Amino acid sequence: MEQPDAIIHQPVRLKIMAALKVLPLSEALEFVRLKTIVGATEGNLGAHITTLEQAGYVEVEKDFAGKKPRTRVQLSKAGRRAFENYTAYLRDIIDAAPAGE
Amino acid sequence: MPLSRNEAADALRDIAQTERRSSSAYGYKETAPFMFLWGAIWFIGYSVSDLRPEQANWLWPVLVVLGFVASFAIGSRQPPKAKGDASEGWRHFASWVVVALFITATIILFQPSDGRQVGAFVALLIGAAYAVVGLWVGMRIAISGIAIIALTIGGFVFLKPHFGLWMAFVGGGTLILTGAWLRRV
Repeated sequence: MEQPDAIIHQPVRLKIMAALKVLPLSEALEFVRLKTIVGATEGNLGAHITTLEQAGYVEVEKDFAGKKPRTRVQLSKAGRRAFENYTAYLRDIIDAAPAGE
Repeated sequence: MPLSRNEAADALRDIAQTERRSSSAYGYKETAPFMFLWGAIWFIGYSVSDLRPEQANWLWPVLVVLGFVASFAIGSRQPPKAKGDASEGWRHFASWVVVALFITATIILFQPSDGRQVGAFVALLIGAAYAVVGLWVGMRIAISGIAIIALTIGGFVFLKPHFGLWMAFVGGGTLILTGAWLRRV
């Protein structure tokens, strides 16, 4: 990979992907929890999730928990693969370049 | 434009930090139901130990067995962390069985004459276990363990006549409040 994946490379989207990556395979994270973990505002987080969803990297599920609306986000297979490729790309850069560069 | 080595290192650091936060948050969510369950068990067990001490000998074993069965049921509904890693739930369950067996063996070995000593010893050991587990899963659980140890010692030294009620409300209450705290992220 010569260039970083532009979708994942953005800092907030990178954090979203990292937060979802550590969950068990079938698990989704609620929007409010994701907001706290990533440290983004609601609008900002929503916009970045939409970008990731359009790229096919996350799946968004909206339902109700009792009477309260709930949005849950889950990493897709393509997203997991893309994130693994991205972290491998970062490690390759570190391994290839001499320290201090 | 390709990234520099420093930019790549910063990105990996951000990833590691976010993964730790997310892992802790997920661990908290999964641990909360156990805290509610065992908080309720402590509340019932210690209350009865204080108010009707003659019932404590049969009640505690029943509560502990019910607690283990309920814990196993809760744990088996939680998804494994990695694909196909169904053994994780079993290992958690087995860890607590080891703690329970250790407590039982110690009581048989030392044969304490005072029920309060037994109650305090069990609470101290559970508190220590939470403190150790918390160091790996997340600080909120460690703080709960340390609070249980401090409150148990405080109650044992200063509230001897009503140590059982103290443990019911403060010990059981600490577990239940910790459960509520873990659900909030």
